[in-house]
Amino acid sequence: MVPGYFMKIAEINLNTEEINLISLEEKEVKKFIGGSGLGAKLLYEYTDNKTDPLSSENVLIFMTGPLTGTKTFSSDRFEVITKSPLTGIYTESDCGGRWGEGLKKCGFDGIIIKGKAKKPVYITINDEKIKIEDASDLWGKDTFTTDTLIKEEMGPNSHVVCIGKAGENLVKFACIINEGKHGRAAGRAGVGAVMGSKKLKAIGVLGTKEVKIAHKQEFNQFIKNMVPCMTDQTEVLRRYGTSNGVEYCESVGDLPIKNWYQGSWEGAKKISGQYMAKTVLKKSYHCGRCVIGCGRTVEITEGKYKLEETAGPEYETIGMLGSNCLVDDIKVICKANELCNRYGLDTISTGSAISFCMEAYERSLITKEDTGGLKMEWGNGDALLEMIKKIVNRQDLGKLLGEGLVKASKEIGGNSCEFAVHVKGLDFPAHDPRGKVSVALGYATSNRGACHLQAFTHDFEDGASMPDLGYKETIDLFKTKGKAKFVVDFQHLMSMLDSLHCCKFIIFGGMTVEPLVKVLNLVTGWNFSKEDFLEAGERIFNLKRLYNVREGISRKDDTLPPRILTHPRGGGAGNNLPDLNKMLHDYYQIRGWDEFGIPTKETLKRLELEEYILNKPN
Amino acid sequence: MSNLNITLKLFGSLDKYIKDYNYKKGVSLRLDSNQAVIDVTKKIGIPTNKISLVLINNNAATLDCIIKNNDIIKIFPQIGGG
Repeated sequence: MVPGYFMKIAEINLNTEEINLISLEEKEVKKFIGGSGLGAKLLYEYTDNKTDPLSSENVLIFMTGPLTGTKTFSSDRFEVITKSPLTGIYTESDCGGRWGEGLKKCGFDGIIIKGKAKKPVYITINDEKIKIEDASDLWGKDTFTTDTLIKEEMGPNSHVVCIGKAGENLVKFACIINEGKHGRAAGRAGVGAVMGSKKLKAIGVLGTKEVKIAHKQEFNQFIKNMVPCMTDQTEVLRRYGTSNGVEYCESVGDLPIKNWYQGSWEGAKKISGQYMAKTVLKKSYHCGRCVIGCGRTVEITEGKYKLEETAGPEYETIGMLGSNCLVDDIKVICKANELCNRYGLDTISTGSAISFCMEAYERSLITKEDTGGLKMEWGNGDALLEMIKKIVNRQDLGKLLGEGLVKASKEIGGNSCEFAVHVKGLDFPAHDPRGKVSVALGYATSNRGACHLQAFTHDFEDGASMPDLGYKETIDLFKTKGKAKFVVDFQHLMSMLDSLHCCKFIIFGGMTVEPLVKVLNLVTGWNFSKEDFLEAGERIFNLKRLYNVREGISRKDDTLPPRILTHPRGGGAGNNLPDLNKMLHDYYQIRGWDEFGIPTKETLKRLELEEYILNKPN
Repeated sequence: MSNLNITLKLFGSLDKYIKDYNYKKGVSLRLDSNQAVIDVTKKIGIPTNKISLVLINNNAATLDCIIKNNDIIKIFPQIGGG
């Protein structure tokens, strides 16, 4: 047994209701760690380029890492890995809240859901006892109610992940919700639709086992010593949430405005974290094992957007459902967020769908007939809220929008594909590559499509530094030189954070590369050097790329939409346009990929990944 | 004109605006009276748009708050937008 792990994964077959226990080997966890690393390896083995994401052949993997269930900061997290119905390629989605540790304490490092149930089911896991139960009473219920009902059944210490109507209705960007009204989400790329296609409503966990730690005393002391730094440095996140930088982001041309068209906007100050703190905010929310508390809890006591205490919007939600739609009413955004949480929709892709819709409406490519009578004008908060419901219920234009931007723009036609802002089918999150140039490369090369988390360089451009990764000085926002290496290094670190599995925000509280290596070694008893650690991150990143190469992804797909490459937005970003081609060339060279973006044999050999390109798919 | 003594603490990436900044102690400053927080941050060279949180004696404040003697002022940059 390797400390930090239970060395066990439960494979749950919803066709046959069989449960298989899979043993992990030390060699494989040392190579792929856990979380999205181990998940990617399993997804590669269980699926191939013929697998239809919404068929019974796809698998839905929930994975924790060696640090989950320990005192490591912000380690109560889990990763969902599957083949995305929105993009048709590799995807992963990371979630905090309280469930990852619960699963781990049942004695499983992860679970793999195979097949498809004949009728709606939910799964309960009580330590090693896994049961598949009839969910006919739960199907159709929202995520808040489902969470409450399963907790009533399993007990107050249980934790629940579930889908809402959006997942049941196979909306391509349906998400999985944890913690009910606290709205923690495995948000992106339609992981909720995969769960819905399997007729799986929810998974409840209640675990009592303890995770073994190799050097327990030294580990406990190490964590204790870091608490002051972790708490002090992150106060801005606790007070103002992830939207603490909305006005800053607007000022530098990073905040999306009017479907990525506009450069500056007066409304930003009315939807920031600071504004929320003066108006709708009740308190902060902490995920399990987290001292940072970036989550928001809001309440709106009166008026037409009245809301009982519920999760408040994050930066992404404020960007995509607020500024990108020119909605400057924080109450509308809070209500929109609540609807997305209740019915299980990714707020990023929902905001993207609606801002796209608003532009199509402005350009008369769609009309009120298509929208079921809704006037989808910029800034129309009530229309935005109604359209969210139409997306959930697959009504009118909501049905097409729920298929994602690629299908929607194809169907709507005209030149709508020119303003469908996505990479590989995944909608842009709320950071603009014209404002922060490394983001251009990050979005173009991320393994799940446009994703700000796989590289997470946006805060390190014109801001933070990470000396133990080699970045001491502030990096210029608009500079191209050196950006490729910068993105590569951060992608390796982020691959590791997604595999260990910890929240990325701990890097702002002092848990950078060297402390993370130390903690991994203290928990597992291994002797990883910093180089071993970052090489594991490189291996994991390349494995995900191999999955996509098998799907047909290459250079032609590592690109950005026309609006981002050719339309300067003005405002803080001025006339800047990202020189993607130059950065991409450098990036492939550094990565040891050929001109088509395919990892070379030499690179795969160095990373001990040859078997993954030589094996034929099943 | 009476002088004020205050302690200024800079967090995250803002620490680079003071040479050899000591994270534990912060920096002691002597100021003229009737200065706002923004007067101090501007003098140090911190771009105003980079400041996301101002605390005076651990209470939320703003850049235009007037500083008093013995105040402990904490300045934070934006973090993790997204």
